Amino acid sequence: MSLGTPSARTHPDNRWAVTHAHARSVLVFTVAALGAVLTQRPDILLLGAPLGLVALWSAMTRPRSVPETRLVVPAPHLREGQWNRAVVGVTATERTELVSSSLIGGPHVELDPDRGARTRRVTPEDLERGEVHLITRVRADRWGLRRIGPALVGATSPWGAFRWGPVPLEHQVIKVLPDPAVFDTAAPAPHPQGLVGQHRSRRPGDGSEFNTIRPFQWGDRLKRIHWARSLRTNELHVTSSFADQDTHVAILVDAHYDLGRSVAKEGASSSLDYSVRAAAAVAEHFLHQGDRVSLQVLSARTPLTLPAGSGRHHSQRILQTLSLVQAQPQDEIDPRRVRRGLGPGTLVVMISALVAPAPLAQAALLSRSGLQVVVIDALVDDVQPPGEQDDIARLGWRIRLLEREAELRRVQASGVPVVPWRGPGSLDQVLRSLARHRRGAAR
Amino acid sequence: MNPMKDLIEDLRSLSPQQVLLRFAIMVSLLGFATVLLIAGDSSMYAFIVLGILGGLCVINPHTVMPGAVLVYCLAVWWSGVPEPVVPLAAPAGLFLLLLHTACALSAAAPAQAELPAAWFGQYAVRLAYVGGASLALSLVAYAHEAWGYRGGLTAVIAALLALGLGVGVHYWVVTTTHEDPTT
Repeated sequence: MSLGTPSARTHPDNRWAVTHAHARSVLVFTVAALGAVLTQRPDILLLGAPLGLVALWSAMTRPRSVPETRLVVPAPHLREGQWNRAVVGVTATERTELVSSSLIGGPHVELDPDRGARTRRVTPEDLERGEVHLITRVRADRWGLRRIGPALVGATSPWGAFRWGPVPLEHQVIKVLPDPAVFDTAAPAPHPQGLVGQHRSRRPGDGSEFNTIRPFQWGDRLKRIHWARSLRTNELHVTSSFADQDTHVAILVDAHYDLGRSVAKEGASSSLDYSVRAAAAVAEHFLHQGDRVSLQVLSARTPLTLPAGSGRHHSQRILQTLSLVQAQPQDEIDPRRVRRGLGPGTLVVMISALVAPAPLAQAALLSRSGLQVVVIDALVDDVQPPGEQDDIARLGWRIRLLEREAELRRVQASGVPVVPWRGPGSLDQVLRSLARHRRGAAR
Repeated sequence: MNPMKDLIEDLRSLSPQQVLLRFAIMVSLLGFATVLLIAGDSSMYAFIVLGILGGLCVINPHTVMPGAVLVYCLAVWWSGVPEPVVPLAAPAGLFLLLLHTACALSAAAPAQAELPAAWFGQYAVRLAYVGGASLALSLVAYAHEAWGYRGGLTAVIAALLALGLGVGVHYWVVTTTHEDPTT
């Protein structure tokens, strides 16, 4: 970003102007001197003389050049709850004495100090360096695109006689990545396929998990020779291992509705908060195991899709994509779009508040097409119903919850497990049962 | 936007240094009022009125209010102290200097901002310089009075011309255009 944003440069206050303080000192001295001369009262002049000296000092130290300024947020993205810095830079000019800034934090942004008000005295070192930095700590307590600023910057000369600004600086937008809720599962993914993950295969292959010691065959690697057994039996033996395998985990995030309030200070999270954080946690967990994870967001406003990938960079990509999610209902979900890129053996994890029947219907469709589907229910107990809390609204919400329970029973009956999101271990039981089911089918 | 609400919000969220400056505003006006009572024949009402005006300056240090209060102070001194030269004029002038400086510094930064301690130290030194010069000027005035010099009409006209010239030069200085930072 270049120094001096256009809005600051063209702002009418982007100049050194006389303050009330300087006008006051000149006026009081002039009145005192006039009064003293006209009324022959030297004591009146003595009352105004100090202010005359201040006025003289102020006029002699009037700044000559206008500073330039900028607002920078060094980190382009950060995680929820993580502190960052917003830096207001002002070029240090001669005779500038005090630089001050005031920053406005957007929704879900916390500032330290509270109102982002900072001052700094310009020192000779600042003049040598050429720029004064006013640093405000910022923290976003909710994922998404967050606004830092706008900021107001001003400076004053000695005795507060001349003021530059306050000039406005345009806001900066930063990406706040969701903080993956702690999620851990000891259960294996039900249908591993590739050859790079950490799930133990049922087939022997190149991996790290010990299988057995067997006679040498052509093609075996020399480093796998088991010398002790070979010497005892006078025949070459090698250690064999199970293949390490990965799986494709497709995460579907239902972002049609955002129910409840999201106020970090009160510890309140909306249904979309739970969905996004759960998606981040599930993705991080499977990526950490070496699996391939893809992401699809179901929302009319942000229909985002991220193809399958693995590794730490892919984890960052998923978090960045999740930070862009915005809720908006969709009239119709195209099943072909949802099905795209989901090959046989893919584990589909759908995360939804399940307040509309459409996502559940999609889950049932995917399950019927032969995919393993697990639905995570993100309507956690403390999520409050939407809208006004009058009797009619409460009744309507209760009716909808009853309908929802019936829909959940139907979809569970069709073989799709639905798990409420409870953080660590939410999926353990389901994944274990799916893996058992697979093994039974294979036998 | 409600200006009164903003003022109250500003007062509620003052930084400790700003509280100190606002306290200095009040102290300086009450100090001036005390000197005025001692030096002349003003009544206690002057003390009360100046206290109220001090409160207004505390709320509005960045407006024309302190200027109006300072001019009012000159007027009450002129009407309340009959003697043309009294030694108490020097401390009264210093109290006005403190009032002006506290208001100027208070208006120089956001009300919520923490102000650097070194800045206050710098102003303590500056106030000492200006105060010292003012006291020296007072001594000159007392010597002038003691020796009984009288200027007459010529001196009055010369003083008015000097004042006019000073104000004119000042206007020329503060309206000189700035250097363009982009060139």
